Amino acid sequence: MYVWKCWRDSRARFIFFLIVILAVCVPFTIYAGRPGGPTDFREGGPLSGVGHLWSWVSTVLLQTLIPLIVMFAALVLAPSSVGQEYKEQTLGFLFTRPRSRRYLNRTCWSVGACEILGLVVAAVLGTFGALICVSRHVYAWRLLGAILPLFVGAVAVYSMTYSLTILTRSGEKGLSYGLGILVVSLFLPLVELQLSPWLWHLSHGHALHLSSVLSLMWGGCGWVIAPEGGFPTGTFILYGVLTLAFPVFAQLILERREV
Amino acid sequence: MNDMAIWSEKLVKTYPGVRAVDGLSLNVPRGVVYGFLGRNGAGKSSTIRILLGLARATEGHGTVLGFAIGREQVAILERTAYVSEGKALYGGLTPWELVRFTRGFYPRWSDRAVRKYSQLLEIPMDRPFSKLSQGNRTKVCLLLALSQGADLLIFDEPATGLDPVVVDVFLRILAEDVVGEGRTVFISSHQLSDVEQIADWVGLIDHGRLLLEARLDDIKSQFRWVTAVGRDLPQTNLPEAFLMASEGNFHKYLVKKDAEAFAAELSRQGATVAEVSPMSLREIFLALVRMEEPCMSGNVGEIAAPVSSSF
Repeated sequence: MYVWKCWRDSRARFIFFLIVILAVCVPFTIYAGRPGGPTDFREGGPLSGVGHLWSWVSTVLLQTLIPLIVMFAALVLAPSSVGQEYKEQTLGFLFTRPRSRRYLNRTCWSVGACEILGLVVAAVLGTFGALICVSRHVYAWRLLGAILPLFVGAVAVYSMTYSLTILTRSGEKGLSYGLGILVVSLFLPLVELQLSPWLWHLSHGHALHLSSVLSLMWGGCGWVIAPEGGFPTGTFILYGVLTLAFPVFAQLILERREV
Repeated sequence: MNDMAIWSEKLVKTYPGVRAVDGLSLNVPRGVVYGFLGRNGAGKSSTIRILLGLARATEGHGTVLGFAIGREQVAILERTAYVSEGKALYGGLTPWELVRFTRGFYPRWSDRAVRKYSQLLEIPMDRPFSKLSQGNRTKVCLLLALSQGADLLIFDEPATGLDPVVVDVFLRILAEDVVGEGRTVFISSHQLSDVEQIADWVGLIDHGRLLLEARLDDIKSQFRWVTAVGRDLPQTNLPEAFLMASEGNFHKYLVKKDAEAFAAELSRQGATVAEVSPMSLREIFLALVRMEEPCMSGNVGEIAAPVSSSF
């Protein structure tokens, strides 16, 4: 029943973002692929119409709009769970239901993660479907490979904000701190540039990258567009580990917290 | 110890600068209504939170329905219904939705009880919880607790916001449906008169310490006011009697046990015993809180350490 409660608390936001994603992805792809659309002017040029459409859609949608939307959705979905319990002062009621706090934490986190997966799949499949309708080109299948990096990136943001919500006992604070950390993390490549000699020394001559979550999404989607560029495996593993570590951290806090 | 619905030994709970629960040893038998009485900040809610695993005891240990506090918490919660002091539930859900949410946690949930008590308590089941009055919110909390089929029901200030008619209905439900089925009720309350109507046992707590724990009938049959008139009454050691008020030649004693013998002793020493009268639970509560004596749990005769009284 807690699954139902978590879904009920977050479904309005989920549906809102689902509509936003579909409203962006599908019309955008159809618009880009229509005769006289933004990808039509180079018909017969160095890129074929279809090839250019694929490039245009994947770059603008896959690497820019979809990552931004799902990341923002991840930020907004996180406080709707336990953060809401703090706000409504209902944690005492919840924690006196006969379930372990570990179960409650995992259930709550999993519902949000599933919603994010749903958003990512909807974004990719929406674009995929529209692209197939417009171009019927085999490039479209590549889009499906973007689900994994988009999901891991978004769910990492979700997990971090979820943990911060529990740590700060406030949905609003968790959201603010999560957003702050996310913005700061965008400057990690600049930090990497400044610290590169030190990082080089620290890693004993191996390349050590400070990658933001957007780097994972861009890199992962870039690999989908151009596989020869290579998949950002290190970043993917780093954020995969963080994605799993944050809920464990949240659980440790919840199990020790007095109500 | 496992025969007890609630058993604890020397429970202590400290917060920075505060000793909320101070060596509390509770013995709540199964199948009774136990009134847990105390002033604001006496440690009642802290004790309940420890019993339910919402807070950890700094020291001491105990069991609820035979399961260890803190270690077998899910087993305790499966068998225990709880209504908190704050009566906070999900504001966006209607009582029907709250029933739907809560039902799934309890295998012994009774929809028949939901129908019966929602009608008896006149609960508007289709309005969001946040739109309900304080009294109706309390009723919803009571409804959820009563429908769980729990072996132990813990109520923290259950009458908050309820009108006297609903309080009466609630007390009848407890007496007839809950205790009648052999379940245990643990009520923490300031409403002494309500508790007095249905309680079999009472525990009085103050400053986190148990002042008294005994059967209500024993307490009421043994605690007495003794009013005596006399001048220059001699000093003596009387472990069960306490001088509570003195004005001129009039002296008022609280006697915990053998009031008639005490009155006879006063007469022998030259005093005139004006009255030996029974005490209400409220009077006993006030007198004990004012004396602030820690004591051992058990029968009435053991409730206080010997204290010298003067007369």
